[in-house]
Amino acid sequence: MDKVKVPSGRPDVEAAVRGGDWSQAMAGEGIPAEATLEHALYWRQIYTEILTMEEKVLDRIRQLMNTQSDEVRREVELTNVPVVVAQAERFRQRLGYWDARLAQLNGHPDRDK
Amino acid sequence: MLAIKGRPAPPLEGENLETKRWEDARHWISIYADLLEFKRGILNRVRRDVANLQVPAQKAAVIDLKIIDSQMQGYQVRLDLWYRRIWELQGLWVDPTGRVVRHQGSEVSLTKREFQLLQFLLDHPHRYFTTSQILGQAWADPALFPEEVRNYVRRLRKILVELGIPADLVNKAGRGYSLVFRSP
Repeated sequence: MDKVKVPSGRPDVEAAVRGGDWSQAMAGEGIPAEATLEHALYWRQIYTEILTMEEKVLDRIRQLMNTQSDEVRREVELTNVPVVVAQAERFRQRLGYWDARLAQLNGHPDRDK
Repeated sequence: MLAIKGRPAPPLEGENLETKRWEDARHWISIYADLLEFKRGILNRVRRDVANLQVPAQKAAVIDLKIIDSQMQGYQVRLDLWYRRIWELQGLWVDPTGRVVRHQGSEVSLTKREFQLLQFLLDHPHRYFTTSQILGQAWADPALFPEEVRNYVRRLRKILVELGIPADLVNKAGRGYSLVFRSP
């Protein structure tokens, strides 16, 4: 979370970045340490999908920013990038929990192969 | 003079609504139009991607959509404020009580429906409205015939020309009518 720059005077963005708190699980997720193999595989899939999406969105934002005026680029850098980065960081961290749980259960995650 | 609804986004660096320069107003209008276009593109992209996620991930991703949507509303309000400013700098004045429009020393009295339509379009510049949207939102009378819209559009175009207002009431197929500002 400390990696994400929060612009001052933008309560909307500040709140959104706070929403990127990685201790925050999704509804129905439960505690990784208590999960079965099936449950852990399911949640790893969920986080892989959403993380991939956030990373693609971030790439797209950065790509589109290159064609914009300085003012637009600055505003997007201030308002969109921190939000997506915070969200992606949260999902990456949660994915890490589920990877660790799968390793514990001897279901080695594909991404480590 | 014109109604601005909603909460504006915070001003951007260097932005000053009190400017006396018409060029500044045009500059910020183009910046906000670009920002809206940019965010619309991102919003559509995120919407498409979110639809392909599983339900729990969709719920978690909704925050992205809400943020972009709320930012766009804030930019739209600032865009409207700049349009209001540019009309002021152009010397356009709309008096709802007497249904009079003044522009750079010239003045025209409008009928109730002419005035309602002009006011509606001035309040929503550069946005397109279909005939039925105009009937329902500008006149609050959806029972009127669509021909009435075309008739009043013709009348308003004449008034714009008569007063030398640098705006065109354009019609695009599939989108409807819009008041589009042009360089004087």
